[in-house]
Amino acid sequence: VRILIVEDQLKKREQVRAVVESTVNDVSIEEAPSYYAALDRILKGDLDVVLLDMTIPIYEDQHDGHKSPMWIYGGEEVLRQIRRKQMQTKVIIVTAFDYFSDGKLSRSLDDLKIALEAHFRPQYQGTVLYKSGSDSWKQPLSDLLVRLIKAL
Amino acid sequence: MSAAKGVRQLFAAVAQHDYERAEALWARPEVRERISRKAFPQNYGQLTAVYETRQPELVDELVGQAFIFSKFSEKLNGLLRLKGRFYACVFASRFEDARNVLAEVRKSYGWSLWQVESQFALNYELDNHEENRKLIERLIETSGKSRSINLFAATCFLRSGPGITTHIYRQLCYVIERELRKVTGGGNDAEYLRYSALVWNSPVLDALSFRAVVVSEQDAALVDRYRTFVLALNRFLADSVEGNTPLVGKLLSDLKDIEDPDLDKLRFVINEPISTPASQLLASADEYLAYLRSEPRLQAHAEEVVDVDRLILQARAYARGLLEHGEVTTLESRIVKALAQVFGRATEFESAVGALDAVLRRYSMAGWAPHLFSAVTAETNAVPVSIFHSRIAQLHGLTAAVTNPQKRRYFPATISSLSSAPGDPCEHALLQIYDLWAAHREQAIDQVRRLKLPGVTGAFIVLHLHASGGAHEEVVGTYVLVSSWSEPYYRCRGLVLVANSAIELGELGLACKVIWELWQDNNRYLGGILWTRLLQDLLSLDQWPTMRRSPLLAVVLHLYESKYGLEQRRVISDAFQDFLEAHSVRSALDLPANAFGDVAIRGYFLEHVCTTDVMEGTRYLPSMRAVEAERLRICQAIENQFPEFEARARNEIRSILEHDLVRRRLKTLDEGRVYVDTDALREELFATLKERFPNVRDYLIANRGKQLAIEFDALSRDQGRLMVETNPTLVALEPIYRLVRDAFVLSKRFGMNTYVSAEMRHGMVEAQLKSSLLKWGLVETSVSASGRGAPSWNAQISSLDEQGRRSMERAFERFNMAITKIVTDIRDDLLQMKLQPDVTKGGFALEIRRENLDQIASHIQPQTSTEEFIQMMMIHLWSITDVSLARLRGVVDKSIRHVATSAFDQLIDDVETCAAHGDVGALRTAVISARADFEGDLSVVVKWLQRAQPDNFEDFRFMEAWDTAHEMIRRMFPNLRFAVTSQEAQDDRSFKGFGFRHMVRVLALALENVAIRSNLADPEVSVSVQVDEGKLTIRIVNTVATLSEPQHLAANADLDRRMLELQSEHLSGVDTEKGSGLPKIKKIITSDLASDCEIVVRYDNPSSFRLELQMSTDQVLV
Repeated sequence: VRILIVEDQLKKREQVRAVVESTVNDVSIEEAPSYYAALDRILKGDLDVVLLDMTIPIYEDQHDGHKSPMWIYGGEEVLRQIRRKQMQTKVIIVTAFDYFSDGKLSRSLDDLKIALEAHFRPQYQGTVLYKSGSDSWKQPLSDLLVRLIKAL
Repeated sequence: MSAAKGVRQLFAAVAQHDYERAEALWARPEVRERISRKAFPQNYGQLTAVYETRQPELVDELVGQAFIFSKFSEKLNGLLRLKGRFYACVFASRFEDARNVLAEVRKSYGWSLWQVESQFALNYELDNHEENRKLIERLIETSGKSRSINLFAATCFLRSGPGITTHIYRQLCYVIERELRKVTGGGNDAEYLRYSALVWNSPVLDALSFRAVVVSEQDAALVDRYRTFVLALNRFLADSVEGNTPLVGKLLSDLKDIEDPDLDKLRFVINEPISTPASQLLASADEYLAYLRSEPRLQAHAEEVVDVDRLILQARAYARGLLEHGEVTTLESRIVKALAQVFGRATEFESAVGALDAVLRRYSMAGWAPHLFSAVTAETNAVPVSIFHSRIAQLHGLTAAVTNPQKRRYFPATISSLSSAPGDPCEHALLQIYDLWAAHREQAIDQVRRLKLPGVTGAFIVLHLHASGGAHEEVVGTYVLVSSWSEPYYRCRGLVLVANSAIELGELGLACKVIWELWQDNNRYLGGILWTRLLQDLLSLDQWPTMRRSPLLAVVLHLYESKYGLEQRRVISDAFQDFLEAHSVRSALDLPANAFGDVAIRGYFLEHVCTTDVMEGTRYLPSMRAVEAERLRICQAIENQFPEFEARARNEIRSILEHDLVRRRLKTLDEGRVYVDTDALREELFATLKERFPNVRDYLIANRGKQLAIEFDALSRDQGRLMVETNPTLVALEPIYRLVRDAFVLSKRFGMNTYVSAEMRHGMVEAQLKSSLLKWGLVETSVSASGRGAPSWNAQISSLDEQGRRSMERAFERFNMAITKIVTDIRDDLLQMKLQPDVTKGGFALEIRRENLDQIASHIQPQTSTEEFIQMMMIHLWSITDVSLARLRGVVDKSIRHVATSAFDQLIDDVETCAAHGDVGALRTAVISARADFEGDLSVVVKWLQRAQPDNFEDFRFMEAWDTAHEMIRRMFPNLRFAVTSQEAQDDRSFKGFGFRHMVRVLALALENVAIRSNLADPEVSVSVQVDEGKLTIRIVNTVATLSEPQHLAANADLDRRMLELQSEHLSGVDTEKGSGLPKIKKIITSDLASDCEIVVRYDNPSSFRLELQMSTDQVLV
């Protein structure tokens, strides 16, 4: 099973990786810290599952050493590209936020889930709310992964 | 408040468009009573005494007047009833009764243009020209040559003249206008007359100046003002501007108490509920129609045609100016009549539509068409004509719906006879050919071609005849035909039709091609494209693959975006990327010329589509740097290959390079902010040590390896003299080592402490570490901030229950304390100089150590010169500093980061705990985001903690330093939106490169001052620089500074005193990092830029703070 973790925060990436490793046997895990890196990897077309953060930087770093601006709905854009390319890769959103606003569009996590369900099925498979100081998110993620892997 | 005052305030509120207040005043019984008690204001001037038009914009005026008229509904209803009676009498040829009605109007409502006009018309109808002459005399006698009477006389005379066509009428209007100008010397009358001519008798809307109308009608009768209002409302609705219809709906709702069929017709048009039954509304025109039919001038024609065609004839007559003395009522009656025919006599459908179309065109009321045709469609269950955009297309749609052969009986035997008929043959041909369509399609095409119908109608017919076959070739054939037309108007309209047909047929490639051509021809016509359908199809997954090889997909999406705004701009990026992929290239510049087909498309694609925001995030460009480099290459290609875009491309290239330069310079400045001016120090130290060092050197050499016994007086007599063994290094070298070290660290002009203070401790480290917190609203910008709460989130926190609120307030207090401690620890401890071993504070460990002295001593040789010693010391001190910096970086990167992360984690926990007390989702997101950004801010500070690289900046212009400083501060205060205006010196001289760093620091300090002290989210700064007689003057004006609550300062004296205090505050704080920074600016200018310096700070007024820096130019200018 080939899984890509799209996450720019090191700590969260490691925690998600640990959950994947403990849940899925015979798994090949890759990581992408930005929208660009994620898209570049996904479009190669051989991934089974993408664990996707919703808010990600477009690039890893700007050339002047500053961090690339965060794209609040970058994860949704990745999903849109997957759907546009008519790929079958499954996607689970793993986000720390339960509220999103890019200045133009504000949505609660519940609203976002509804929108993702409506527009990105069957690629979109569910959302897990990550909390850094808690393990509460691990089981739901694990369950989703198990279900997905079975269906592959 | 007295009733009279209330009434005055009411109209004053209306004049200021403060309708909330106006309604509040109207709600007062005494005000209502006074207004209703007062006689009806016959002259509008009676209102304008209190109601002075502020900005006579059409929308404001409509709203304001609707408000006023709504308050006189009872009186207006009385007038309208009389008006109705008058017309009823006229239509029934009961002219004496009509005259009596007018007399009643005159008695009850005073002189009005409408009443006088009607009187004239009536007299004319009765051939009573003598009566009209008397009327004019009486008017002039009554009012002399006053403005309004002149208007009455002139207008009524013109309107009542027999056989005056529109053309003659307008000519006469201009003659009268000139005459009036001679009499009155002013423009109002002339404007009014022009307005009258235009609005009532001419289809030219563009020249209409509503302001002129309002101004010239200030003294008009309220009756006329109301009539103008209704007319303007009609025009306003006819404009078809988005938002007009809802506003008209609201105004009509405000005027619900006025029982005016004219208003009901408007309601009818915009599908608002109407109080009058529709049937009654429609039937009301019958009498008037009968009246028109009785006109002698129409009778000759009337005999020639059947009943329904007579209406068309009348419309034609109308268009040719034969029915000039009617006015808007006539027009509306015709429209309503046409509708009545549609509803009542379905077999006359085509004629009704034709008549309707004729009158709409006559009055340039195309904007009405969608409403009216929609109404017709709704009644007839016809096809949804709204799918057509042009009026003619809608007409066509309606006609197409008529499938009953019985309805075709009105078309003439041949098209030829139609073409020779008076009027517009195309419109009729449309109707008739359409009937031929089904049975005689080829014949119809031939006929249309033979007739060479020039207009859009012809195009439409041909197009639809072709398209009805549904074949690609036929649409293309029509496209070729339309493209060949030389008349731009017809060609563009035809292209719209071709594009829409292509869209309907799913020929998206062709549609895009036609749209591109249309854009090149005249982009005004793009509004007629079926965009919704096109975008839906273009972006569908089915169509996308077929379009991806064409640049037109991205181009058309961009055209739409630039004109109307796309909901999802990323689709342009998708189209761009797919286009490249389809041609297997990684850069737009590598696309072969044949991929575009047309060189103009390539130009547009490169200039407008291949922009940084489109290319950002696309494949093949893995970083923002790559995106910008690609854009630069593209601009260079545009500059070379497309002369028409050359200037714009050159500007963009310059802008990109400048921006890049700013960032590179900023990067240089950011990577290392620890600096000592060692060259200057060497010079200074040499003067001090040149005689002293040789003695020390010789002593050290002579005593190297020896222990010295130094005698001291014993502390007590018993002990006698005390012998202490020591190293000669300590005795001889330590004093000059200390001297050099102190200069290295503490020299006010060149030392490290000064630079660390100016570049980091003074506001910078705090600003950098708080920039993310500011961005996410977790702290305040201002120096006066309490530092306790999360200002942007107060509302959300307040919405929590009591327990949650208290809990959150405590959490933020803890968090702010933690962040403040971090800032304080860095600024007041880590970034301080540690010069004594027993001092605990200071991250720059530069205390004197025995091993350091030994190390230096070991390197001193007999031939070591003073210069070499100083150089040796510089290297030595820098190496110690480097060790400190490495340790400091570690402390900030690890310990401080850990503390900060803990503080954020704690806050996130606190926020999550509060979720039980209310919605904190957005706040939680802000805190988590701020944590991520804060980590980046810490990394920036870590980068500062490096030795600054020797400057090798090139010579620069002032604005380059300004832009760099601006960018630096913008990053530190991301939520502040500086509005910067600049006025560069005209001579545009260059500054020496060595001064770049210092100039940037000066300007950054000044801007930081504005950011911190303006208390504003949108500070406005103006900067100017001037070189004059060896003096460089930089003026930085904070144009919207807020002097603390000046309104509370009782007198001017207090204000002056407070301003002086604030000015002196700006000059305080010389030795701390908490002041204004002006002493540091002075230091930088005098020491680093080696210039004389004068600083002037003052409040020009309470909202404008000026900082003026003056320096000599000889050291800084090239």
